[in-house]
Amino acid sequence: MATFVQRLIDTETIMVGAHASDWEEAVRIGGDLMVQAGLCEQRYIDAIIENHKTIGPYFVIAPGIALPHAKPKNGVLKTGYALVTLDEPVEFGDEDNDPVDILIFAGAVNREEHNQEAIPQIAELCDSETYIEALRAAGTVGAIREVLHAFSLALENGELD
Amino acid sequence: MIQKNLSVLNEEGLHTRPANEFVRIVKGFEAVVTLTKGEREVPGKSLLKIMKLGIVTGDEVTITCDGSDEEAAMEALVRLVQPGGTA
Repeated sequence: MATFVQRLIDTETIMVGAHASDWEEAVRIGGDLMVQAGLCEQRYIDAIIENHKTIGPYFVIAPGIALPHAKPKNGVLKTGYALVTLDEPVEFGDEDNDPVDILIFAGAVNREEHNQEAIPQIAELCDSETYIEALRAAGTVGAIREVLHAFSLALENGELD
Repeated sequence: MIQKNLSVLNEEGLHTRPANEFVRIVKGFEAVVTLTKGEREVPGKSLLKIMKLGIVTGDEVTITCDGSDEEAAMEALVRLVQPGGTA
């Protein structure tokens, strides 16, 4: 199975220290990366924003971390990811996990890739304080890539709990 | 303590949204809940640890509830993972 980290690095969809005035702008910033890389149509990003408005912050999954995604049928073209860190955190309306400064975007072409690749691998990353802190501290895309590589190795070698 | 083995029947498995719902239900009860898939057992109130299990429709899981309201907790959780009731 392809890995989340490999796909993310291959598509060069990483942005560090972006500035957003609110959650919607933050989602649009990463959304643009996804669309420009040919991973999804614009309507996929619109669906994420619409879902958040109608059903609430279902994709804020850990303190400071959002995983914006919608369903494959909303316009995913190729399974892929984007990662955005913010210079200043924004509120998503999730009292347990606000404010958010790391956004990991995911789009999968089918439910199997979503549930078996995207979600577990991203959850592994988010459940590892070491790597999340390192991502927050990374000041360049190169530094983010190094953190992701280290995480990927640790995951493959079964070094994460 | 009560325990139930069951197949996940809700059509989306237990990814972000249904897993969030699972955690929300668990937090509403006093009983301590654990979810097991294969050899991996995780606390029912940890969204990330549930997401790490990568549960898809058709997977066999075990739910364990332990506490004064364990019956009600189990009933609510079974309703989530088997929305149409057992086949």
